[in-house]
Amino acid sequence: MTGIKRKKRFSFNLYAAIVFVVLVLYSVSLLTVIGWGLLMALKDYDEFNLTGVALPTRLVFRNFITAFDHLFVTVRSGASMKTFFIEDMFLTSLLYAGGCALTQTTVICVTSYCTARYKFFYSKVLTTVVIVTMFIPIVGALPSQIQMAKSTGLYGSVWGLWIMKANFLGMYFLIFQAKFKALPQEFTDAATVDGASHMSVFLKIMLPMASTTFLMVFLLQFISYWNDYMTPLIYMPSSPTMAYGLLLFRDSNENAVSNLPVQVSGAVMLLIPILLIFLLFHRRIYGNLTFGGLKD
Amino acid sequence: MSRKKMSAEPAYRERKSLWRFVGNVLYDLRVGLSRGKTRKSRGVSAGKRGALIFYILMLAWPTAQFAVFYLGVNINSVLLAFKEYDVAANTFRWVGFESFSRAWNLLFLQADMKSAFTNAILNQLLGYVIPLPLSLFFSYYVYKKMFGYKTLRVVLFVPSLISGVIMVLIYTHFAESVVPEVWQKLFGKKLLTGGGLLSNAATSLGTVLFYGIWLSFGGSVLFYSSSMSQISESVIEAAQLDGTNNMQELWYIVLPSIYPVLAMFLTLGVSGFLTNDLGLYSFFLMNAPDRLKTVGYYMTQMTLRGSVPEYPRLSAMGLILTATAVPLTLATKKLLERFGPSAD
Repeated sequence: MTGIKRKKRFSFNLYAAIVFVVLVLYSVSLLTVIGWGLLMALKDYDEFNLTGVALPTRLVFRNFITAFDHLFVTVRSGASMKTFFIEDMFLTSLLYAGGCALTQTTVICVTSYCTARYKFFYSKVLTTVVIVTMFIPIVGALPSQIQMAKSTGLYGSVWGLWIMKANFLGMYFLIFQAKFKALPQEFTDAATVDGASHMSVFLKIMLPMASTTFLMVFLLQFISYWNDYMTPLIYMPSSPTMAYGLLLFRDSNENAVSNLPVQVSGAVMLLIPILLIFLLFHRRIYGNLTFGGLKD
Repeated sequence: MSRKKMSAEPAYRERKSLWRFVGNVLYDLRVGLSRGKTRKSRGVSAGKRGALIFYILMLAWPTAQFAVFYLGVNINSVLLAFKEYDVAANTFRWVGFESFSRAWNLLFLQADMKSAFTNAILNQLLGYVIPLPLSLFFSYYVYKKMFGYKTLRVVLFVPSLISGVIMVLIYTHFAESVVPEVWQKLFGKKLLTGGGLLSNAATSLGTVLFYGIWLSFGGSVLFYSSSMSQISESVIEAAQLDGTNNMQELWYIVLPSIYPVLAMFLTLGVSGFLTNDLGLYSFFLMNAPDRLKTVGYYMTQMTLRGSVPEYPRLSAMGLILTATAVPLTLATKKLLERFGPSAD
């Protein structure tokens, strides 16, 4: 057993050698482009004008100050125009990404728990709904979605998006369901005998056991919403997030910001929270994304 | 001794049955007073009632949300396709199939749409044919915890962390300035006669397609390697004792085991071919050149640019496209189920 494990970890066969070389080449291509791009944030504007390819000869942090001062977006808000500065957009991003990730993860978790642990007919219905909606491609529902958002009064607000995104559809439902199905029944039975209510069983026993999956899904959703510019652009154009603001900032014609070093500096500001989250929690993300249903 | 025993047992049984009889009479009396329910049925129904109340309370929101924002939205979309916006009355009115004929003409008789369909198919084909085998090889490498897997796993996930806006900002500059300049320095001649890789008409589609493929590994490796980690260790050990090498193990054990997950991703890929926008919004926002547009980009662009009177035609287009994509998706699913590897 130990021998097999040791062999598995340290053997360097032909397969491993070839894939390792391909992976390294791929990783180098990724890190070169990303690293080179991010280094541009530290390049002097005049030096960048001379050559946009070479790495900076000296590192300057002035671009971050310029980006901070000029990263604002003016959008139409009702009849007037309103300017959003970086701190406003940061707060909107935090509310949008945090709120949507939390509401959606909670709804998915609750729904998958009920369908996994309660053998009612409706559980089968909901599971079928999730699978069917995953495989039925609905094209062109955007006009109707916008109309629905406007008619329900949810259009244009962050909390409106929390409600619109608080659904149980998608792959994460299957991940949560697989997790809850795999949890032993004995804990629930013991707690029920001791007089625990269904809510107590869920909140005090099952949810803590699925907390790693909850955190992982929440983090992945948070990253996705933080980087999402399309939904805010469509549903709350008057409240720009960081990603949406950066998109407008990138296409800006203003002299101070229409150059790559300053724009990348703005981009780094968008990236910092996500990098911090990833560095803190990246171990939790791996190994928890299983759907179940593997062949034995 | 045995006789004593024999004589004592019936008396005991009698006493026991007497107490049982009294107990039953008292119980029936109590049950009769409480509307005739038996002890057993009352206990079960109370437990079930509690479970049902919890179940209903917990699923009330998800059901209502689904009813409004999925069923409601899609029913409304179907209804919109049969309507027309009356500008004077500021309301919609029924017009039957009128929007469908206009949508049909726009989708299938317009020259731009031909390239939009071609681009969508090309993107989906290349987006799966090239990255899928590589993703599986990478995932297997990570799953087997081979040399440097931890670092490589983090690097593979990096593009998933970075917003498309940032990646495109850097990638565009790389494609437009860095690659042509480096090429010229290395080979002493220009790479292209006009513009960079993205702005040149001959290379722009390839550049955008490459971008999508290049960044597509992180997420899939995460999912596939996680699925592989669920394969029973005893199966892998048995195969190793039989002397299988890595390729045999991957082909005969791992791939058949994760086939349901693989089939699901492939089916989802087919289902998304008419909604995929090729990341063009990150590159061009609303101003992508016609030669690069996909059907998905075209639909979103028309919705965002269009006003309310355009909605019926767009909904009709959506219905026609959905009717095209659904059979394709279901056929793919059936085929993958039918021709997939068996568990044996």
